[in-house]
Amino acid sequence: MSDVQVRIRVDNEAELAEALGIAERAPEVTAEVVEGETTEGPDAQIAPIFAILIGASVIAAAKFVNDVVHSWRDKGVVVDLRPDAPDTVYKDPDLRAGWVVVVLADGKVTVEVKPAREDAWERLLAELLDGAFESVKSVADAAKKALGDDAVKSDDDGETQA
Amino acid sequence: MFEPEGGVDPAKLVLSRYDVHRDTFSGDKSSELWDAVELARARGELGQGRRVAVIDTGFDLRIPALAAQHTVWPTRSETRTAHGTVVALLIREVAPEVGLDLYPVGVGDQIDEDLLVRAISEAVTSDVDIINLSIGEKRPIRGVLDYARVVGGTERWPDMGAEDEPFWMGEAIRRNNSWRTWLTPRTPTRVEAAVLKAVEGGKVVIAACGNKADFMFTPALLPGVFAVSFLRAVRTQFAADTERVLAEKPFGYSQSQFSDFGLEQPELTLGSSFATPLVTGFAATMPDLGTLGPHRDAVRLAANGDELRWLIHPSSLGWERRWGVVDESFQDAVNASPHHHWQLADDDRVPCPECSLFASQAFIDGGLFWLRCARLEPAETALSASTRFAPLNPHAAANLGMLYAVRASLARDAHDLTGAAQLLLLAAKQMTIAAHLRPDCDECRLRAAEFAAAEADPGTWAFRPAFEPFPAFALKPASAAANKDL
Repeated sequence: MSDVQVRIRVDNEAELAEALGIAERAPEVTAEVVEGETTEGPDAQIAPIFAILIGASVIAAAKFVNDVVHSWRDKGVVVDLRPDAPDTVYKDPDLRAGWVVVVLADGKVTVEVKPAREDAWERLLAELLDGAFESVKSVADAAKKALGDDAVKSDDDGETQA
Repeated sequence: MFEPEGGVDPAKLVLSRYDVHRDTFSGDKSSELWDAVELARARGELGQGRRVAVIDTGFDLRIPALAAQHTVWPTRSETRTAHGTVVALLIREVAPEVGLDLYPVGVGDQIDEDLLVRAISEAVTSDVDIINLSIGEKRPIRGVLDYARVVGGTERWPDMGAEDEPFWMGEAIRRNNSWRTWLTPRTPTRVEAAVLKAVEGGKVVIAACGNKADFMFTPALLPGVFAVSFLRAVRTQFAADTERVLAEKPFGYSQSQFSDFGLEQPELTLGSSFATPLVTGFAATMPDLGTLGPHRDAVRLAANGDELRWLIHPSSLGWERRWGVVDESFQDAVNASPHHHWQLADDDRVPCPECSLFASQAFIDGGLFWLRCARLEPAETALSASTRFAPLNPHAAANLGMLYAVRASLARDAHDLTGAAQLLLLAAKQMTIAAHLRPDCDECRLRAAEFAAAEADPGTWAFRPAFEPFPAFALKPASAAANKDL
């Protein structure tokens, strides 16, 4: 497995604090805030922050992302693996807590991450971040195997959880 | 890169730790800065009688501590105030009795350059002692730094190898002693002209080093300005019982590598903007602002020695000249430190807040370096002085304790058991102090017990040095060592 970079969108100071706190406790993860572009001329020496860019092995990155997702207890989360996605991980206010939408170029898979299946989900997440899957169908199959049939809905099934 | 409007304000993250009723920030205050602040407070140095111009975005005057300050003109209604508010409050956190002149120069999310120039110009003619500028404009290094100037005048060493390169560069840095001499001369901008006039007018200008690696920022890069950064202290065990503390880039954000003073980064504090007011506040507590320049030189020289000392491999050819660069850097650093604590008699050595903050690296790391070189006299001079001026620094006490233990082992080997016992008593005392200051340091506690027990019977004590001396420097009694004065 290789090293990856994951961009995690933060929407408020509490999310930023939680994500940075998790990164501080994970020495194998490097984390850097992504600031807005500064304008010409002098600036206050900190610009608004839009995301945290982390660099880590896929195993460490998966653990980090999972920990961050855990800290966002109120809403579900999107993991957008499309190459041109501006952010890899972000909250979706329309998604129930405990649900994760995995977006690929050909569609999306929605999974429910139950506490009893955390370890299996983290392993699957590492494979996802490592680019191990090329289609929604392959992700859905792997997710069903790891999390159970009832925890997975995909475009491939003709229905989407939202 | 396009970014949507909005975003999270990192200043609010810091502001969330401010307790308006108690007028203080919560959070860990165990760094060298706060040790120095504690020493200053013990001397009643709280910033009274000093005035600071805080030139920043805007200020939230609903906070009583800021409402009580002098606001030169009102903050524009649409301006985000968290940044300026935090900067002003952090200055007061360090120097609670300093007077602030608040100059709001923000408009929306940006700095109004006309207002900025006006603020600096008005501050120059006011009675402020210090101008705080947590503001900067970035410049690509390639555009301002002339590499020929970095090594200008330093001839290449004969037969230089790859291993010599960082030391040869370090020698050039030691001789120049200011990265600002490496900059290509150019016509100052309007803001720069105003800042230079402030410096020429005798104001101390303290500026953020800037938040982008591989860039330099103005006004921090201007001559006479003090540039401030955050650093992260990374502690690692590199032997079973020896801790190495390295200053590394700050956590969570990108920062310019060019600064004069680096403070340990507090948790969840992102940006050199917030390091700057901490140094400004500390400067406001200093009896003589004229010592800030010499402290800057000492810090720079000590950092040069520190960066290079880990690269010495005495077994390789030509190591002596590489060692010499480190030795000279630490000697120059100690000598540049303005108070010359090493020259003072014991009775005149008292805690010194500013040297605790700015001179510890020169004295403690220099002392440790000389200890490894078996140059026990300068090592003892430096470490002994540091335990007096920085009594809250556990590294000063621990390293002095080890030095006494080394000397005790030499005395024991020379069959001077009485002398060895006396030195072991001193070693145990210093290690006990270190263990008290660093309760998490098991090694300090174990060493204190070891030395105390050995004092009773030095003849059977099996000394295990915590460091390997450089092979070329065999430890021998201090009187016979080839020591030279600092």
